[in-house]
Amino acid sequence: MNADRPRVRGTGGRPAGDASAFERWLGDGLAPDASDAAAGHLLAEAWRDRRRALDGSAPRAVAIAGRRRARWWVSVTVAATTVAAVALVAVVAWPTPAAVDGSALAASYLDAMGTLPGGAP
Amino acid sequence: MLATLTFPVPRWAFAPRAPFAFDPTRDEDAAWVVAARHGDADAFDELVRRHATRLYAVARRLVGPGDAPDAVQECLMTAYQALPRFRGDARFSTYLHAILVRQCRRTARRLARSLPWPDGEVASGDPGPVEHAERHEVQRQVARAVARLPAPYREALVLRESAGLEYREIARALGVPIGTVRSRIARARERLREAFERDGMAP
Repeated sequence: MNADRPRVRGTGGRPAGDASAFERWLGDGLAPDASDAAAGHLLAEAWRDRRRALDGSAPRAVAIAGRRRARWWVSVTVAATTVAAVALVAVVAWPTPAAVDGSALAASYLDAMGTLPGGAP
Repeated sequence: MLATLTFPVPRWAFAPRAPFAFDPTRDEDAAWVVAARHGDADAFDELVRRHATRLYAVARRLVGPGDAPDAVQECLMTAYQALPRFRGDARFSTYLHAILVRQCRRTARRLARSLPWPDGEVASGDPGPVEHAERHEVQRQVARAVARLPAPYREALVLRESAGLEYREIARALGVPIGTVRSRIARARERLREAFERDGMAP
């Protein structure tokens, strides 16, 4: 009797009528049931809470990052200012060798020469 | 440079939105997706509410009831974060199920088991009326048999029967040609049919 029915390609040559009955039965067994619906409802609620927490944490994270960045810039500015001030003080107050007065040196040399016995004129 | 190093907001938050060409006549979720892409988080919640049951049904049959909730939650998180990159060239349900299948594969790899869940661990259905008992028994037997299928067959069959996707949508979600989907589903049904006939359960 089954030999007279049209065959379904890709199903091992099974008669079409049998295939559809089995597929309906299988589809019924795999369709979402009440437990899936209940779990889906709970998952949707859990997701909503998770999403709200996620969205709420983003502005907070931005604010925290802003404060952290501000602290970083304050630290860098204070350090740079301190270094600059120390350098300035060092440059200004560092004891430099006394300026050499060439004429005074020459005069003292000549005086010295003049005091030597048989010194030059 | 400095801002890149110190800014902890995830990169996806500033991801450029992909060009969006959604056909509202083709997808009943189009209006909600458009709203969600423009920052309406409640719209995304509505999309989740619409699809959560089917997502869970698919995940339960792919990784078992123990890991299905986590797989669905991770799927939703990925979908939410990647929504700006969703181009709209497939239905939103296809997009969700494609993400879910990838998540279930990761879960299965992590658990490193060929059978996703023990035979006896099938979620209990509605405990109520006696007339549902027979259907529940069928679902339990089918779930067991489906769990024994090779993963490619199981994915294709579950997306068809539990998620109600069309063949071309399954092909898109799995990233295989449509002919492959047809043959996988046919072979999955054939294996199940043989198994049920062997156990004397086929209709």
